[in-house]
Amino acid sequence: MTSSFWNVTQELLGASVYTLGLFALTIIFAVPLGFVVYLLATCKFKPVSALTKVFIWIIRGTPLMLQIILFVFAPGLIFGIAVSNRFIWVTVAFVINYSAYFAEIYRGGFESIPVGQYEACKILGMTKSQTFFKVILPQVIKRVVPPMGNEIITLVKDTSLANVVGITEIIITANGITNMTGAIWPIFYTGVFYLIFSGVLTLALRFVEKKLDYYR
Amino acid sequence: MEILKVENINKTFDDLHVLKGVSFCMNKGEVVAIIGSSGGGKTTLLRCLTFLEKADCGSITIDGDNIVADVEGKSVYPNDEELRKRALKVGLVFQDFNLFPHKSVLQNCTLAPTSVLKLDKAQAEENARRVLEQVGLSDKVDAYPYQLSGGQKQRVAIARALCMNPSLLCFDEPTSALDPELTAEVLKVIKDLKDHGVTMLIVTHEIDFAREVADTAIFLDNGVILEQGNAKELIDNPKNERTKEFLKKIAE
Ligand SMILES: Nc1ncnc2c1ncn2[C@@H]1O[C@H](COP(=O)(O)OP(=O)(O)O)[C@@H](O)[C@H]1O
Ligand SMILES: [Mg+2]
Repeated sequence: MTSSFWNVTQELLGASVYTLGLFALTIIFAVPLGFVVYLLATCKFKPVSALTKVFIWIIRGTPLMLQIILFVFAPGLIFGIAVSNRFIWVTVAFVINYSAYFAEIYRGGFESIPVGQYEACKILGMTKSQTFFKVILPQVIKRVVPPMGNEIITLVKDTSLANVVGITEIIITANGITNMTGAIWPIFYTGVFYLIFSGVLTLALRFVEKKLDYYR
Repeated sequence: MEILKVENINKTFDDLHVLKGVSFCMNKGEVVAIIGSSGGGKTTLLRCLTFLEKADCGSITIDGDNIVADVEGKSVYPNDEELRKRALKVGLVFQDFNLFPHKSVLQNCTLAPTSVLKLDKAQAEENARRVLEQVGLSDKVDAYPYQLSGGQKQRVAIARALCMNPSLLCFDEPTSALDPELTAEVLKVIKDLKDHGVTMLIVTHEIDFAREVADTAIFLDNGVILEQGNAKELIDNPKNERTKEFLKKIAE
């Protein structure tokens, strides 16, 4: 193993698969699951909404790192079954964590829609689903895109937390190279990967915001 | 022909008895103005008549359809889906417009006709353009609400309601959210609608306007109709002491 620039770049690109995979899976599952959590938190059946709120409080009130460790080790400690694929459980921890944050963002989005919008729809004879899909949801989407964007950028950096349970994401990979070759620069080089990734996402998010900018 | 018949409407919020047995009728093409000091229940009455609020007792008949019946002193409503369909006969223009901000002026006027009345798009747009011309907004069809003045927004709201072809159009203080210099353009549109035979029930503080445009005026005070009759007569020569007081105060 050498610490040549090309070699390190290849190693880190290989490790990016975990980082990108974790990122993509979290988005794919947490975006819809966050909506389910939001619905449960606003459920008219009190026990359900109360329990959901406690869940959100716990998830948002404890470090993600702790939750990752819990999801990977708790099954072994409690049921005596060792987790065979840690990546899956790390992903589950991320999905659950982010769905709690997304739920709060959705709540903010829906609560910011004035009741007048619902009443205007009702007066015009629109059904509940027409009201939701044609009037409310498009406006909610515009309002949740900026805060969702912030969370998504945070997620890019949070993926590095997976190394706490030994997932070979890019920082741990760079660390390994440093340990073996003595060269310290690969660790800092990972920053470039994060910058490029979050830079591309920032541009994409800005593009989406621009697209939604046709009204106020 | 009778377009609206309201009998003995009562409405209570918690302990607050807001409407205390309101009854009146409207004929086709008639314009009725409801006046009265704030807190008297005017908005609540309109909200009951447009089914945004449910009355406790009393009945409501619109265009021959007895939508709300009074059964042993209790208002009985059809189920939600049934009510949604039958309530299409009545439209409402809000004080603060409530336009759809993400839709253009034209789309604001075609959304319900296409999705609720199932008109095809071309037909709905043709109607909408005609109505928008009537309210003087032909040059704004592609604008978005945020690009409009308050007066223009309110005219879009009127057009949006008209596109559903209601038998009765209600207005809740249509000019009170507007700068004084913008009220005239909205009042002019309403006057023009009267000339086209639109049946309208208008809550307003514009007494001169009510006197000029309305056929009938109703003075609603503290949840009770204290006086009703020919608009000019009621406003020029009120009989009731409370009406006199109110008109005097508003003239100051
Ligand atoms: N949703 C509501 N809940 C409780 N009280 C209400 C509600 N809507 C109106 N009220 C009360 O009913 C009374 C009449 O209000 P409103 O119909 O708005 O009068 P107006 O339109 O004539 O000013 C007021 O005292 C108001 O505070
Ligand atoms: Mg009012």
